[in-house]
Amino acid sequence: MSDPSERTLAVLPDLPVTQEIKVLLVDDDAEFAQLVDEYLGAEGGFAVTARGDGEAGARSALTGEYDVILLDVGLPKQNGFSVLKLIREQIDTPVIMLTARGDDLDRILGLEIGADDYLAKPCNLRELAARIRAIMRRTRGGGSSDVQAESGRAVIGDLTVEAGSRSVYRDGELIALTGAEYLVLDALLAQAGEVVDKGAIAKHALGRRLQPYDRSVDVHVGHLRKKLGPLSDGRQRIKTVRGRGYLYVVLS
Amino acid sequence: MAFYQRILVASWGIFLLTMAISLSAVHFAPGSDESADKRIVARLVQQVARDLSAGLAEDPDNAVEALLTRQNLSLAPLLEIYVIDPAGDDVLARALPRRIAEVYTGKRQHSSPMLHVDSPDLRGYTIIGDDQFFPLAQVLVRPGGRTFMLAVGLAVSALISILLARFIVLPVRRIREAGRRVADGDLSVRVAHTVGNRSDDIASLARDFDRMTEQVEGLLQDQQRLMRDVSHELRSPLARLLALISIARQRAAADDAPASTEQLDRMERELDRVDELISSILAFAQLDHADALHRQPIDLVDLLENVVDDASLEAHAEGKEVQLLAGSEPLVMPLDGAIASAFENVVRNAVRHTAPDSRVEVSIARTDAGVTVTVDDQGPGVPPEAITQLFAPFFRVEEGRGTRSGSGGLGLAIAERCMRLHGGAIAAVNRPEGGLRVTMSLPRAAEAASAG
Repeated sequence: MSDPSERTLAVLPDLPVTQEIKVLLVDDDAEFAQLVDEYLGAEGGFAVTARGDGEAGARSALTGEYDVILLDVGLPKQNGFSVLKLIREQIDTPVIMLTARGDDLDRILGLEIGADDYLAKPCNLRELAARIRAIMRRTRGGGSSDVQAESGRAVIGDLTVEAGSRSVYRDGELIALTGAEYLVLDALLAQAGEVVDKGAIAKHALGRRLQPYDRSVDVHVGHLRKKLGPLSDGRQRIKTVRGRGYLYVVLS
Repeated sequence: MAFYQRILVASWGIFLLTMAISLSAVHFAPGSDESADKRIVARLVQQVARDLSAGLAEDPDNAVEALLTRQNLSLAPLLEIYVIDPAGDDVLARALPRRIAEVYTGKRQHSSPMLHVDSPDLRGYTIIGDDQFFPLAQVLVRPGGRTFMLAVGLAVSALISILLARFIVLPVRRIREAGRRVADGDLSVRVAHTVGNRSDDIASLARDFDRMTEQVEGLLQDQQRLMRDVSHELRSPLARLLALISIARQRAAADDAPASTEQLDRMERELDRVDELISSILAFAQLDHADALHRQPIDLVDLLENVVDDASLEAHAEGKEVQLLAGSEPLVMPLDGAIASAFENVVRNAVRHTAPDSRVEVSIARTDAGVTVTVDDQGPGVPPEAITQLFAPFFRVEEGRGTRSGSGGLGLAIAERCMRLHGGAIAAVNRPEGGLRVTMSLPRAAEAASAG
């Protein structure tokens, strides 16, 4: 897939990560956690802390000292979603949900509550490391985009985007978006009125390539539509262009 | 009360009621006095009277004997003609029934005065006809009497049958209906409350039915829980295995050992397959009945667009193509998200079997009944005897199509179940021009599958 938007979308800086990435892994399988620790340790650049249940996981997460949280959905006592809710009420630390393959409902629910990405478990650890790096690039790199580069504030139709605080207002009213949703919107607004292909959106918002049967971009767009509502003339704000991608409609 | 007693009572009821109605018809039917049989009876009595008076005029001593040779005085059960001599005895020495004696002594009027002859010509003899033995018999000899009896019998049995039906057939039907729903997979059906507080065979049948359904439901739930638990449990060792392979790969890369990398790749592929199988088992187990569906508005065209895009990516690697023939306007229906995997499985199956450098065509058509999605491949097709089993779990076509790779053989079964739960259907047919066509239809009405 060619990526025609590469020219217009800021290419994410592939910064060599200098600081160690602090990873919190919340998973009830201690042995698996041990293996993840071993692998990431050998990779270098990661420090892994493991917690075996939801409560301990939430407590550690809320200290705010971690860069990224890996959250298993199938936790005993308190499942991954309630832990994610607890975390999201207080902090914005990027969260990658570990879901079972084929469990689309879990994924959609996770993204809805505010997970930044998901990964099917069992997973290849190389892929896991790549996801963590992608998210870190996105957040540490500041997701710099044209909209943001030009000014701290952009107004598109009835939307006002403040890049610094990553907040979006519709007619002056704050719309709460998750990190990934904000970046998807960011990618669309950067080329408002033009078709942006899904691969480019994924690259910008998730920091990775889109894989086959991967619905995350569609799910994020669905949530954006719901949260932002239709345009003032009643039309859908984000149009699906079949086989090509999505387009943010600009009222002329 | 047991059935056979009920039925016994009912048949006796039919019998007695028919009798009673017919009897009262004889008694109270208007014009029964003037009716034809009354006239016949009267004529018989008059004839005896004329005969006797003639005999008495001719030869008084032998008149009675002569009468007896010529006339039959006992026409039971229709009629008894009593010829009472001046001494008050019947000439045939029959005991007089009370009502006849009372007529004779003048205590009461004969119900049919024509049957009471007491004329001076009889010289002290009195002739009284008694037609009251068994009125039913009179009904039978009346013109139209049999028809009347038949009609009464029919009416009475119809009435009793309706009552019996209300008592037996209706509850049995309810239980049958419940049985059908159970067969359709709704094991939450219970019938005992529908039979009220009866204590007969039907009630015990209903209770037994409920016990049975409860048992089966329990067993099935246990089984499904077991299957889910096993599948979940399998995932943990699988995740560890994959992690171990990742570590081994990391080491192999560090030691620069490409040979072992190749082994590791193969292991990973196999693990992937096991994982895919587990997820399809779980998906299949989740699609157990229509109540499990979470319907939401889904644009079929958009969904298929995505499925075809994804399948194309996979197909291009083998030089195959997937094409979607659909209008551009959206087609929104209330569907469960699982419908995506149903289409996905069918399309991927087609991609797998279509010949290299050929094309899979997916098309959407609106019909009166709803929507039809067809998936055509250009593969070898399926032997006709295997077509019906194509959607059975883990069914493999051995000849013509080599053993199937990838999907653990639940893909088409999931598609079939998913369509059925949505009230739709799936079918496969060999195309005359070669290749297989799978047709999936979804009803326009979003009615629950349990209804059909």
